[in-house]
Amino acid sequence: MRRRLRLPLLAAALLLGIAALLLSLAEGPRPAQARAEPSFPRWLRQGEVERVRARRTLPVSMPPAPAPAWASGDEPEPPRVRDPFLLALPRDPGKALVVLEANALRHSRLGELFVECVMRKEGRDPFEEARREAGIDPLKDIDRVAYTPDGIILFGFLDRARLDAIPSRVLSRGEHGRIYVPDAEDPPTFTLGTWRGQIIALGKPDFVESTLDRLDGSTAEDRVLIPEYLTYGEAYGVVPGAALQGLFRGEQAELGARIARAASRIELHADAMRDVAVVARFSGADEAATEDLGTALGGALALGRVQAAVSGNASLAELLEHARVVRGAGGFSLELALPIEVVERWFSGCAGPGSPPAGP
Amino acid sequence: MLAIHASGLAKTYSGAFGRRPQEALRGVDLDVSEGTAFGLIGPNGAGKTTFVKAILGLVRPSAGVARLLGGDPGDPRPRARVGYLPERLQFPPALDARAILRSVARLKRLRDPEAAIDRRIDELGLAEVASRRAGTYSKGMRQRLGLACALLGAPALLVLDEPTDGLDPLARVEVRNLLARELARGATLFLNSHLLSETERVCTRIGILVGGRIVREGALDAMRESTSRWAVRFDGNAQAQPLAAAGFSPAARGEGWTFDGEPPALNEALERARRSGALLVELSRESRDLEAVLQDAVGVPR
Amino acid sequence: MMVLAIAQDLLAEARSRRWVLAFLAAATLVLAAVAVGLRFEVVDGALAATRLFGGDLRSDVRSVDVALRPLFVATSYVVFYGGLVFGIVATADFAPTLLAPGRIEPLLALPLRRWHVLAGTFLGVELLVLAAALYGGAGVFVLLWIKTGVANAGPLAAAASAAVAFAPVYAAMLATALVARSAALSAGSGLLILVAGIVAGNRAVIAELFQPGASRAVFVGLTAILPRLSSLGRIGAAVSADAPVAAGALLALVAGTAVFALAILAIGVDRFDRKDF
Repeated sequence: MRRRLRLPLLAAALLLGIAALLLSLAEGPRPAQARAEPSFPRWLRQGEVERVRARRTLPVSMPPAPAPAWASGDEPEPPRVRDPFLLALPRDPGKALVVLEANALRHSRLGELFVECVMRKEGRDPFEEARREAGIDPLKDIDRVAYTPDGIILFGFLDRARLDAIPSRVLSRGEHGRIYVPDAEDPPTFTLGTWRGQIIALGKPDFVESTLDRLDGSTAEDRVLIPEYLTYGEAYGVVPGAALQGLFRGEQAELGARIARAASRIELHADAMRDVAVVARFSGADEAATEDLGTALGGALALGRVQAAVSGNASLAELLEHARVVRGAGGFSLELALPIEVVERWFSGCAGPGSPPAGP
Repeated sequence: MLAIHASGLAKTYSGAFGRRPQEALRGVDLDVSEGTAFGLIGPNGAGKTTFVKAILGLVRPSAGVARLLGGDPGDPRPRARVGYLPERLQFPPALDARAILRSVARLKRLRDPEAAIDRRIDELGLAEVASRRAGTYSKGMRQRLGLACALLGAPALLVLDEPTDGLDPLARVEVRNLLARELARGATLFLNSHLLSETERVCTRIGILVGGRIVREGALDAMRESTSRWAVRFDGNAQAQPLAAAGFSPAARGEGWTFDGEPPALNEALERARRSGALLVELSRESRDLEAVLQDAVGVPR
Repeated sequence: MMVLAIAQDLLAEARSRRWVLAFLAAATLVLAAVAVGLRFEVVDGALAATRLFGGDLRSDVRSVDVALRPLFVATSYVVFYGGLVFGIVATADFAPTLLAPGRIEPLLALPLRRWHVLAGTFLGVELLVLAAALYGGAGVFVLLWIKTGVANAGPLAAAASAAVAFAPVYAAMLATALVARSAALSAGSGLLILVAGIVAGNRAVIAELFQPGASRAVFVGLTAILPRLSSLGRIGAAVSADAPVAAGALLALVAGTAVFALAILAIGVDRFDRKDF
């Protein structure tokens, strides 16, 4: 029998070669790593724990506890060491209070973009000017800033502040405090208070006075509004639900009203080291109403995402894709993330002097 | 035209894992004309099944030529006119007879298959079980179904390996009649069977395969006739002793005598018998059955 | 035509096998149980609550399509790999049974070429696996679409990917059955190709585990011809996650997988043609 050419084997060899070629084309360049989920600030992280410990620099005395019957009453109370900044913060739960970790923000991508944008818009370096005029370098000397409706509180290396240049009367307050009352107004609408070269409070006179009093220890130590365990994130704060009502207008006004009714306390935390991720923890006296509010907010976010997609607002749709409501004991958390790529796109529109502001 | 042609057909199965190669066919020359009923017989291991598979293209010959209805067995076209019933038969157990026959009809590309299927189901007595799963069939039913598959499409050549295996005697009669009808319409029959009586009843030509070679082949009648044995009958006055002395032997079966010898010796013995007073009544060459023919061919003493 | 006829016979036989019917019944029961027991509360397009047989799963409240993405991704992987494993187990004995003495001889005596038998068996099995995968994938697709209003084609894409991925797997199983008529060996070869395909789909990552040099080169070379089955599995997941799928790369991947299967089948044809029955 004549040997037959084994065509199927030849075909197999050829096909394997073609397959290898096609499969190599399918691989192409290595796919980029899947984008990491934004880092939502939900609790104190290791670095923040160490930061909290490092900030406990002010020894304070506890209010004397009732002495037991057998005690002689001679032993002094041991001093506690506290963070003076947290001690200085207002304690009215009915008013908003937001703290920015300026030092951390300066090193975040958001901070970098912000500084670059400001310098481009102004066409000069306003931070250097502030250092020359006021003696404070905003980018180096300020560690934290607290915002309230009544004033702001700065914490940092503030001993070089040129406060004597302001025409004012200087009054002492407590052991380490000073109050600068401007001569231009009587009665003054705002004053400036300093404490040990670490804290500057600027705002209404009673705001400044009460701030220095809390540091002096001359007010009873009742519950602070932002305890240490809530100082996580590059920005954090506590606002009453009513404070957010004004943000909801038009069709969303009813939602704003529900927030005001149901949420007596909203804790805010923002992580901005890369993506901007915000966690808002809602709590209220009526658990059922709070839970309903969470459902309504989740629905509003989903609906907003659909509307944004339909209207072609891709940035907003992308923002809301990361939004969710997480239910928990006693309330819920609203999580919202802004990918850094979106932030960079917003700031890419930041141009020279006189240009419109960057943003969505 | 020749339905089957084999010339020098050889097949050696290569030994695997150190086993010796096995020569199943050692140069088979065989022609089967169209319209004939040919029976291939031989002892176990003679190569009959291998020969059948070689002419159907199921095994590749090591040497020689095989032709099937004038074409190459590897070509589907001649196989379109062949109906094959293998010795071992298996069907998909989950399908019923109709589904299996439809499948065969599809692969044979039959036009109007349903009519042909109905006819074969009736012919082979499968009507009652046609809707049952093949896995529930007895051996006999499977054999009938196999025959129905082979007969589907009125093939020009029927290659049947043990066609009546597992069938009761009455069913065998039916099958023989069926095959006779197929022959009558002009089909060629190639039969491989151990039942020599069946082969004798159906076939007109015989081939004897021993040790991978055809040792005898020809018309059945011619093979059964003996060239040197005679059956003789004398009248009732014949005496046994003088007949035995003349060289006659009593017949093994029935009345009469037999004589082994060529015609000259036969004539001399008849003369001596006549002189002893025995009158010849009947003289004929003795016909052997196929078993005897096979024994002779194989060389087994009777 | 012959190929289709063989495939049709195989499907008819599969349909009447009881355990295939049992599998379909089981899959339908699971889908029905999930349909009854899983409830989603969708409010303004947000997934407000998820309940499984009455128990609240305390899921987050977020856009329902985003919230369900992990579910769709997981379902896609289940459909893909489950479909492949089902295919291997369910079809391992088709070829060995077809090649059994008493079954193959009358088939090969019919007017067809041997490669028709191989191709028809392959095609029939592929259709069977595609049908099974689509049944599962489409079931989940319809179920979640009705319950949530989200039409996510991920499970369907996964079913189609599974059918493509099964081609080289079954080609290897068929070729193995021609060498050794054993359902166990056939299934084993299918699993081997599946594992090899998973490795090949991650070869860039796995290659870095090897020391640069001969061992890495050997690994890269050996896996170059293997179908990237895990890459096919990721397609359904990508569709589920609303991630982009590069059309060109997808086409090359599918074509390469199909050509590999043809190559193995060609080896099978050679083996089949030379085999005595």
